[in-house]
Amino acid sequence: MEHAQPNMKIFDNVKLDIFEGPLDLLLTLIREKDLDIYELSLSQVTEQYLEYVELLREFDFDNIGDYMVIAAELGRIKSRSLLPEEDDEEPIEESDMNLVEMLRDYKKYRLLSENLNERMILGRDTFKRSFDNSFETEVIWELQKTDMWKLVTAVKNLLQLQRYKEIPDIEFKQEFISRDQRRKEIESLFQTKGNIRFNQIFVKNLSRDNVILSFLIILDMIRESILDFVGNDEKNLEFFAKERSGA
Amino acid sequence: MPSLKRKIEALIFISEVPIALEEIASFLSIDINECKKVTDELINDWEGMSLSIKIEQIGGGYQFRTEESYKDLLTEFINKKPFKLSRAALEVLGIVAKKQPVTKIEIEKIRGVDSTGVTNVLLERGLIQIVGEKEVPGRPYLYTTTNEFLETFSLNDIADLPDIEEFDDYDSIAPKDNES
Repeated sequence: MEHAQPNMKIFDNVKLDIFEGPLDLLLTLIREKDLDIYELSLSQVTEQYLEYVELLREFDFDNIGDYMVIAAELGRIKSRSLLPEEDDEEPIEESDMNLVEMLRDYKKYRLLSENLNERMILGRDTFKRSFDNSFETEVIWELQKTDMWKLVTAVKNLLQLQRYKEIPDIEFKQEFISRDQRRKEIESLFQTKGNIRFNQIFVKNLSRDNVILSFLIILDMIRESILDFVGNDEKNLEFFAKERSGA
Repeated sequence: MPSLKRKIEALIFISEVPIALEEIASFLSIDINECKKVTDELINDWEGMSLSIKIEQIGGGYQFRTEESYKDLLTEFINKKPFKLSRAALEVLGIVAKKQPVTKIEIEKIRGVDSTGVTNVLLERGLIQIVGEKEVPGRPYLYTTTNEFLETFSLNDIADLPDIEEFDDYDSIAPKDNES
């Protein structure tokens, strides 16, 4: 966590509402380890959770406070679990938050949302008559399929490589990266080819700031429904440009 | 002289939103039970003909809709940029559907994250609405789902959604669909 402090100001405040939030992240981590929702499981994923939060912090991410609240609670649970059993003279302060309960409750609504997604959706699976001739009011619905945490995991793994962890002794002149310029570069990749692999965008010699910038641009493009990605795990993500009507 | 069945059919056909049984019965000045009987027959008739459209009970009314097997064809024909609903938006919709009337703070308490942006998207789309203010300090808005929500998710009634406690039994959450 002691890497060089990135120059936050080159990244705008990022609205990451395409992520489902800290509870979703926790649930994802617990599920990856095939654990059930217990305090013990929380302790087992605390470290990983913190790694993600550390990365999200670099983006000057606007909901980061919500992630930090959960991080603090995880820390409390973990430190309590490390205390010897008999030493209950000075118990760690109980908090009002029952994270296990919160997660179990949240999971129900997560499953409900998946259930909603499986219904016959008007404008996706079924259509009704349109009452003008132009289909002006007809909406085609599309539910986001992408698992955003896979993309974050891929970026996190990349930034944990040795080459990004080394802190330079001499202060390098901050290389100025223009967001527009980088976006054009990324867009041009998609003009020539269909699917673009993760490491074709996040090429080897990219600077740390450029990795983050590229990630943010990709988030923008996903939000704008220009891009999406597929891949069963974070090691083989492929991006593809979405077809846009009239373009 | 057109039959009652054909009249009901015509009314359902020209209705922009699902038309309620009461409305049909009162307009045709017939008994509601008879209206229901004939409408049920009508639904069965359409169902039995294996056509590309059928009559469905949606939001407490009746509506003509296309069969699922025509969705690719129709999506291509309509050729619109899809409106994208995020997982986050679906989560908020589910919470509002189950807890309504509900405040944003109550939604955020379940999700553990600020939900202002998502709530606004759903308001804009007409899937949720503000129905008043809660009588607590700060007087936060109360949200409910709309008829458009029922229409969009093919629900006749909000009670047709599964009981939230049913989802407590699942050992683990279903794997996310990441295939294209």
